[in-house]
Amino acid sequence: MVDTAAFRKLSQAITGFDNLDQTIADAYAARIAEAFPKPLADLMAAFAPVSGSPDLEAAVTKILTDNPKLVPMTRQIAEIWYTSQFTRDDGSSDPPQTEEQFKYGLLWKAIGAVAPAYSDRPYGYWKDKPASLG
Amino acid sequence: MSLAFDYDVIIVGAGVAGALCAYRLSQHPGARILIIDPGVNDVDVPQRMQYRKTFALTAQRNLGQIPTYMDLARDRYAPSVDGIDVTRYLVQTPPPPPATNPDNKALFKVPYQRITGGSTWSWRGNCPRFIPSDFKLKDSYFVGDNWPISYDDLEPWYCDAENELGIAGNDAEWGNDSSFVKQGIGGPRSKPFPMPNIVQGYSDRKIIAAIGDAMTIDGKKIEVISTPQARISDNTKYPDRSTCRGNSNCIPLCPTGAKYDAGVHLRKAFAKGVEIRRGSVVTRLEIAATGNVHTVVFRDWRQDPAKDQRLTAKIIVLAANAVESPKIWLFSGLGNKSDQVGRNLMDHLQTEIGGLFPEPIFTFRGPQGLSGIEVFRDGPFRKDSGAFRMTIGNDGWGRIEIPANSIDKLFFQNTPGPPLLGKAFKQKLADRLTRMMRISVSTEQLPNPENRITLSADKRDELGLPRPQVAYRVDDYSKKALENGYRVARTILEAISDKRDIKPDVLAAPQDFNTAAHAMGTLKMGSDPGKSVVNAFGRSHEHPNLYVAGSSVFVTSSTSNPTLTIGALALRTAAEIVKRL
Repeated sequence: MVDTAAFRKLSQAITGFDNLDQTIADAYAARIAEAFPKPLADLMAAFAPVSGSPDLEAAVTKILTDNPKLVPMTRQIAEIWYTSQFTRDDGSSDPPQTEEQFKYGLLWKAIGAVAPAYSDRPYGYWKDKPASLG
Repeated sequence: MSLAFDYDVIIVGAGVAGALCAYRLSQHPGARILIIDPGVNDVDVPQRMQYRKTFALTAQRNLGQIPTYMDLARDRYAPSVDGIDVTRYLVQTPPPPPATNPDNKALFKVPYQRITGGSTWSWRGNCPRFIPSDFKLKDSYFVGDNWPISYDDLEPWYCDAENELGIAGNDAEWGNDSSFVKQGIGGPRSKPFPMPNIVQGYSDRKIIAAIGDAMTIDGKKIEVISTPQARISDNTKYPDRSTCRGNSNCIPLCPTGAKYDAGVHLRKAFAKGVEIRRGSVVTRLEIAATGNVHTVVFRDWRQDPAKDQRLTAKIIVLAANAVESPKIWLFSGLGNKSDQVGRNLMDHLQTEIGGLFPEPIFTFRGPQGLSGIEVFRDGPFRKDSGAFRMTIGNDGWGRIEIPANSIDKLFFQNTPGPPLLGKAFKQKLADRLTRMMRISVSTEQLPNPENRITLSADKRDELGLPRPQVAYRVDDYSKKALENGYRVARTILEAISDKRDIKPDVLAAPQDFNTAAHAMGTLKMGSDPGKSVVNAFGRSHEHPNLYVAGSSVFVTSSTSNPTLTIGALALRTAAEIVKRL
């Protein structure tokens, strides 16, 4: 079983987003664990000793510098959070499981947009720049 | 009304042409109208939401427009070109001519949907009119051909179609006092647009300001103006449609219905009593002894085994598309004395170029394109090379680099060191994506009788019908247009992009083309029955009760997106049919 709270914390360091949704984190941890059980376990094991670090991004960067074999797993975690899908070992994509996951794609938050086809904004919002980026 | 037939009119195909015909004919009291369509989908809100869910949950979301609609049993029995594998249905022959990219260059790549509502489920919604010279290309520039009608003949029907589709446009930019008309490029308008233009984006305003008032290329002043669109800017006049919410997803699916699709008129037609046979693939049109075509033979692919069914009508309207309509014509053995059936297949050839603007312009917000450059749509150069339209994208780099690829690229930016991650990664990603700008070029293609749809001699679909075979190549006229368009786009981009970013980030356009998904030609209209298939009203020269609606009847391709012209011609054809009911 993946410690999904730790997975969420690791994900925040990887993505640069604070306060990631725990329910989404639970689902993503399960999806990744199913496709990559050992790589995820290895990354989580490497992360556990530094999970209390005040600078988690630096800590994760050091983990990856010391052990480049963990980089592909880290990339998949970035991909799933930013796009709600990731790439399996055979090259196929693991698609979002729910519309909520699709809407939560961090990519769109990062650029001040909304997930395609799921706008909750009024007519003409695009004429001004976004008030803030995610 | 004639009771000798099951219906007064049978319309084959429930795309925009068929839907507009059905709707307009349904206004005729007592008319008995039937649509036959292979789709089994609805055209209501729950269906739209189902498609949206399919879109969101597909792994192939970025690969083309079709995956949203792919999980349909329909696709097995009424296949089409899916935007991913252009040979899975179309039989592409002869072999491509020499090309820099043989996998991409000489294939006919137009995707389309054989579903109820047709390809209007998945289109940008751009609706400029053809310009007057498009209708008299041969007289004007000694290339191509002339239509049997003029811009002036079609102008009232353009107004009609703009009203029906709900076109948002800017009268100052497109009306009679506009630069576009005064330069002699655009034709005069007898009515204003039904709605004000869709408000342009932050990105458009930044790009327009950067281009300024003084940029001239090839003697033409570069003006970026709003694009007329079938999209609701003010739903006071269209209360059954939402105003645009800027979903940035016009292709593959508008989730709100703010953008026009044929479902608008199908719903209205059904409310007036028009019937539809769903899941039904036409297997034959039968010629009567009179030379008329009264009988439509079709199979409901949902039945096992699917057996031929027959229905008759006083008038038949063939409103599939520029691939399916000639296919039906040919396998039915309908008249082809002109030898023009299936010929003159056209598309708009596209290329595009992306650059990074000096500051964030925040595309990916709003419709996927709102503005364009129209001045290269006409000029004496058309004697030698094709005209082109340019679109300012509002979707980052479009097909050049989808955001998922940006993520991959930036994540590994430090390779062989540790990946870029965390807030630095997020910032880099935002910096790249929010500065992306794109100009696309869409060129005209001349009618060429050798570009054609025929029937495969040995390859058949699941129902045993011959698969369409395509012969298609691109001539120097269009290649020059692509080259010129790319050169102009690059000149603009280099003038306004951040010079520091040009070398690494301005992407060289692939020296081939992409499809605009605009299949045209194959059942051309004309006055001479020896050189054309239908007359100026879409009526078959050889079968007097058979009409064709849709882009099949186009004589030239123009540079305009075809849907508005499809609509105008379909309404004009419907008016002609009404006289015979």
